[in-house]
Amino acid sequence: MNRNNSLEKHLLTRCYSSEARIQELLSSRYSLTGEQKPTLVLLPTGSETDTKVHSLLHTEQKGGADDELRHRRKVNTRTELKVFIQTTLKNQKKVVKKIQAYNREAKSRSKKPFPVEKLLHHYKIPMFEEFLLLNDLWQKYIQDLLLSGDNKKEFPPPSSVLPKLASADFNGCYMTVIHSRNEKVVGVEGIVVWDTQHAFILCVPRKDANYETNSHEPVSPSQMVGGLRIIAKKHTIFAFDVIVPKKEKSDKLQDTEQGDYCVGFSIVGSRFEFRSVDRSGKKFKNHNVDNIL
Amino acid sequence: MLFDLNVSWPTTNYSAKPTQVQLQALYNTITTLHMLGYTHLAINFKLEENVKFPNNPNEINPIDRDSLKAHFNEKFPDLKLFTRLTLVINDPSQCQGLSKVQNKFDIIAVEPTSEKALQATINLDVDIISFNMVTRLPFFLRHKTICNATDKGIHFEICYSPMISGPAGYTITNNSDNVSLSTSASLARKNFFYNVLQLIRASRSRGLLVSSGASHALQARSSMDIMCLLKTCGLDSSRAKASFTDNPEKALIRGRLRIKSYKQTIVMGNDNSHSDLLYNNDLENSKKTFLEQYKRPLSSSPLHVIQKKRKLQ
Repeated sequence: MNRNNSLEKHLLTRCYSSEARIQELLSSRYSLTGEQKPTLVLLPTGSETDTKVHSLLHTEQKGGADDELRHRRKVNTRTELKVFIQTTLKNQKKVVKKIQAYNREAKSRSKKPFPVEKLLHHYKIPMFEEFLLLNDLWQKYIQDLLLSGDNKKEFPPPSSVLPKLASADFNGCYMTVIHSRNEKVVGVEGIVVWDTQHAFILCVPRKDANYETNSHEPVSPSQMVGGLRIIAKKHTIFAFDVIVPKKEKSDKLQDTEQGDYCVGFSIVGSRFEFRSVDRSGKKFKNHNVDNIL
Repeated sequence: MLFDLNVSWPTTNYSAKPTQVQLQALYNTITTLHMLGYTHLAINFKLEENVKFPNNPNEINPIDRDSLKAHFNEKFPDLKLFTRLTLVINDPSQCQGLSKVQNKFDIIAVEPTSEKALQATINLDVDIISFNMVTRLPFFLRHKTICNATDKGIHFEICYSPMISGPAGYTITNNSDNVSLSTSASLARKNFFYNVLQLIRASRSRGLLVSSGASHALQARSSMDIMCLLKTCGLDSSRAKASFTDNPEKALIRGRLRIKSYKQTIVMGNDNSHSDLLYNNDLENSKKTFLEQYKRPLSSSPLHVIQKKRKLQ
């Protein structure tokens, strides 16, 4: 056989450092022509072997490393995310309850602002500010996707923009609910944390108790907490804006007057009930409009 | 909000342009309808079967919505005008491709004159199916066919102008003192009621919409008159009311989303302050490009929340 044993040599370099030793092993122990059978003498690498001898009867008594491995196998991103969202919502509810209880008692006592920040930190409720970077990334992504022209500053006609948007990714988009059969969610705005099949999970900004609002309604406890909101897509319309960066080179005078501008779009939630993976290759069709509004 | 999705455009072909007198009649009709409380009107351009569409895409829609809008904008700021195309179809094999006209008109309607045409039009992407109510329908309306269309979101139109127009009024016949309607008008009315009853029976009173089809100001009727008419035909109050409020709105949304959205998923624009995002066309203008219509300064969008936060950081 005419082989130069390159594969074996490579394996042996993992175990032995000296080239001479490898050559010797290959010629003496691994030759096909000699008396002995061809064997590769490999040394264990990586983690140390368990020197203890296990009884075959007690295989379950294994060390922590294996348990961890088994645990890691069971955990996947999907379930982790689910657990994270559920615990966050539970914690948000707890904080809201505490604020409500405080407000009830505070009527008799002197009013001192409730230490919301501390509790939010304690319960690890996601802050709106943490997701601002994600929104930056999304704006860059959507500008790359939509804008055309040399320098990526021109907006193409809607016939090419809209299909691209329909199969775009919306994680990180800043959305506003502008219509819904569930009137309580109208007006909610936040950054999309996760785009599920039947809902958008938004991270909404907090409002301070002394936040100056246009309406005279006091800030509700849940508004003070912020955090995650799950908004069902069905019968809901979401609005978002795409920022178009100004043209820097030409028309400097005009741009200083106009500044950046944005183009608004809205998503018909009832037609968007797909997982984002399925949506990318989906062929959409017109349907009966009864379930849109 | 009251809807009337059929106000006749004076011409029915591409060669003739409407005269000043005809335009004045149209203005009068629109004014009368607005006085009666209708805020959303669709100008209907009816096209016979054998007329071919012009090759120039800008000439496909003869209705000059911009000038109409400019005419009424000052007086009636809440009046919304849309355009509609009605195609008369007798033989489905000779039907022209709808894809050419789909983005030019807000609403696409068809008027089938045979059963074969009706079955063919149901599979087309149209919003409204209307029948010529003056003559007795030459075929029997089957429940299965009609409801198949209704399930797909196509609406059926009851156009009341043929009933009230024509040689209306009383004429004295046979030299006797008997007062009776002239034959042609009475026949039209008889056929109208027969056809409406057929349509209500076949559609199980679902998916109907009422429109005027008025070409003259005197042919406009108030919503209460329509209620009265439909109740006479056996519709209950809620369904009668839906036929000039909810159902036309749905037909309008269906038609407008064809232009305004990609397969009803992503819609252009996001101003829902009058809750008519899905069908409003205030920003649209044939001279402006898409970007000029929908762009707005960053400060007016909710994104300024983010800008504010970023400055704080």
